[in-house]
Amino acid sequence: MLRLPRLDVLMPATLDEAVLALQSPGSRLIAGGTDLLPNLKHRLESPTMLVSLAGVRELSTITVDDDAQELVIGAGATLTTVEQCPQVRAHAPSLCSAAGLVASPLIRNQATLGGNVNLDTRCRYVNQTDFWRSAIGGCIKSEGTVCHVVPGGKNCVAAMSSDCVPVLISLGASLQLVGPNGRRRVAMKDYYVADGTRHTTREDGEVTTAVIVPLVSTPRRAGYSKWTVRGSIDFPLTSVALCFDLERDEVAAPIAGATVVVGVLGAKPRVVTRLDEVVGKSLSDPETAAIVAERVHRQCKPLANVPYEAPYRRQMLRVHTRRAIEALVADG
Amino acid sequence: MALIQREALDREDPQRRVPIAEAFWWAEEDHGLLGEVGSYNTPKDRHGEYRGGTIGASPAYSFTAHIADLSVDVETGVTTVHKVWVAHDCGQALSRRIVEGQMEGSVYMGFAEAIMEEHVVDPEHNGEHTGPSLLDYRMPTFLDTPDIEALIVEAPDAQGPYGAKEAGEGPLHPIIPAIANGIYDAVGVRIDRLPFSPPRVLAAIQAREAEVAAGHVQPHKTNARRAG
Amino acid sequence: MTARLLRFSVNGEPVTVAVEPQRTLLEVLRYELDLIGSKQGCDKGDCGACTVQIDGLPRLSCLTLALAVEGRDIQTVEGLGRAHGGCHPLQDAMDRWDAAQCGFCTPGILMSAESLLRRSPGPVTRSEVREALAGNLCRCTGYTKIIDAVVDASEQMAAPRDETEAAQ
Ligand SMILES: Cc1cc2nc3c(=O)[nH]c(=O)nc-3n(C[C@H](O)[C@H](O)[C@H](O)COP(=O)(O)OP(=O)(O)OC[C@H]3O[C@@H](n4cnc5c(N)ncnc54)[C@H](O)[C@@H]3O)c2cc1C
Ligand code: SF4
Ligand code: FES
Ligand code: FES
Repeated sequence: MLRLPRLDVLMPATLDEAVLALQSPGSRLIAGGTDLLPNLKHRLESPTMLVSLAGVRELSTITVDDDAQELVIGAGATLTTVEQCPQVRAHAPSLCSAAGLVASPLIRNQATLGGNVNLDTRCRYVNQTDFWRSAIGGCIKSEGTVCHVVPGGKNCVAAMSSDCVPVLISLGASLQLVGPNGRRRVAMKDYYVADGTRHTTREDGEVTTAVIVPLVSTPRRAGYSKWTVRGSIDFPLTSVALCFDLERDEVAAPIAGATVVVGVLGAKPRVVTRLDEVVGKSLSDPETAAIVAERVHRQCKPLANVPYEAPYRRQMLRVHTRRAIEALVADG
Repeated sequence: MALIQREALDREDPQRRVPIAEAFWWAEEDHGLLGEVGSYNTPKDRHGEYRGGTIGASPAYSFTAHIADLSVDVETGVTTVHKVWVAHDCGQALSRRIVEGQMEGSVYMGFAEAIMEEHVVDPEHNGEHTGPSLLDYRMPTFLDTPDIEALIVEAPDAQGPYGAKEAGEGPLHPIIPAIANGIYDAVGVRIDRLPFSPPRVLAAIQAREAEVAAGHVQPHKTNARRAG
Repeated sequence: MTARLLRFSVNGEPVTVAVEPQRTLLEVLRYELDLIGSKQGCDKGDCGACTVQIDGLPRLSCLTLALAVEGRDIQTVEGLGRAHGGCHPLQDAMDRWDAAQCGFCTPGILMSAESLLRRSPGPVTRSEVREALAGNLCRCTGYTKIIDAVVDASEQMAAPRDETEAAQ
């Protein structure tokens, strides 16, 4: 039995009310609650009031804005909705794959996309009961002062563990935010920072209202690879999103642009660099897969932050990246 | 009275009949909960002088054989068990479905130990358990568990209740060596520590490949097949 | 925190109950309404033992704030057989197949499985059952008999037959 700390709950019906309520000190935003409630039960935070988005209907719509050429997914849409939505499937199929691989069907019925992109970072030494943590004196992200992953480290390197974030960054998505200082839009590649205790540039009181994916008219192949021990429930242990823009609508066509984003490293997802070498090469050329896999392997160094062997995860990044590209090629 | 085809009927006058459930409701209204209490104790004097000999184990040993159909991914070390056949001699099966259920549950638990479950305490962190919840202590889900086919073998034992032996622990043990042998058959490596986790299996495969490259051992049959 | 009045419907009955804001739906069901069919396993999303249906969708009641279900329709295992005059065909099938051993996972499994059967026009396949129940852990059965029972119930619902003979 894990009890929530004493707190108050507010159920606003509109976004404006929610933003206003978030200005009172000690208040905290909750959407599906599948990340926040376990963390509160583990006493990782102690807000005095939860402001729930469950009653804010305006946040759960998914629309295609033809003028702006954008797919606009309300932050309150559940992952089940995102996975099954025909518009998302048509314009961002790799996002459907990622949403459908999160946790379990039960959690996806409840978890929101807004919560997924704001999912707190995770670590084997912090996502435990306060009783468990008390035996090691906590750490920088909880009650303590040291880091157990990087002994002597001053910075928390807990892992960005969302399945959707790498995919959204690979698709060039941005977030719509509304806060006490008005609205702003931020590219998702700039939203995350390398600090496990506060890994987003979200300002206090700011609400993510929508995830915006630009539509492309040029040919593209995009995919997502997740590996975990179990077929369900587990957070990702390796997580690679790939997006290739092609010169023609076939996998033999030359690559016009490549974006690869890797999650579950540190607090910030890593956008793999130096992929220009594959531009101009055919996606179906086995050398393309080998080059990309090599870049990923070289640039991505998993840490001992999540509960699995880091050297193995690093080796597997190479294998899973190559296989993800082979799967895109096989799908035609 | 007779109970036939979901109905209770009067034997003298078969036209007098009611649904069985109703007959039970009537009977329970008159007599309270219908039930019978009984028990069986294992004899204490059947086993020898060895340690544990007096715990009251079942008077006869049960026997089990397992076959595991699996594949090993040589690049990731992931072992996927597709199907397990378990044949178990439980003596007389008092309820076939319950015996099958025990066998299937045993396969599951042994398979889980073989593939993923592990109790690890971390000496560098005051002996903390590294899997203190159902998230970090991974046990197989509906998607991880192989198809299991239970085959009951009945060789009644005169000492046991109604001829039964046991169907609890026995059907668990052989699945672990069955999977270990399956891995050996597939890729030629012997893993002698649980679980047969991907990093462990992969390390063994890579060590063997190095031995092959150095000419110390023959390629395993799969490698030979792939090369040819 | 002071308790607040929560109004919602449980198994078709309107309910008004005073709850403290930090209570989960699971705690209110079990400790205020005495509906102890939904189980408190991990209490943090890992096991599915607490699965109930909220407006028809299976969800985890241990990760749902009670106040967030204001005005909504909750189905728990206690209400499952209501429309079937005693037992839902799934419960009958679980019984016939001896698909519950300790029974701790059973209520959650039933609520996930019912949603699958309601969404499926005809009999379901074994792999559909595995996918739909992937958030519900069972420690005892090896899942086999549960899959047997859910497939059997879906066939029974599509084409009712006399299960007395089927069981023999
Ligand atoms: C057993 C288990 C397994 C899981 N496995 C996975 C997995 O495999 N992959 C994965 O990605 N996740 C996983 N999760 C985590 C979680 O379920 C998902 O990330 C989910 O999408 C979070 O969404 P939510 O609506 O429930 O978030 P909440 O818990 O409500 O919120 C999460 C965080 O985001 C903030 N937030 C929520 N909505 C907004 C908004 N609109 N604007 C600004 N901030 C907001 C909250 O304040 C909070 O800090 C798992 C969780 C559990 C319990
Ligand atoms: S990375 Fe270090 S500081 Fe951060 S949660 Fe893990 S142990 Fe704590
Ligand atoms: S008790 Fe809710 S998921 Fe385990
Ligand atoms: S029957 Fe015991 S957990 Fe499923």
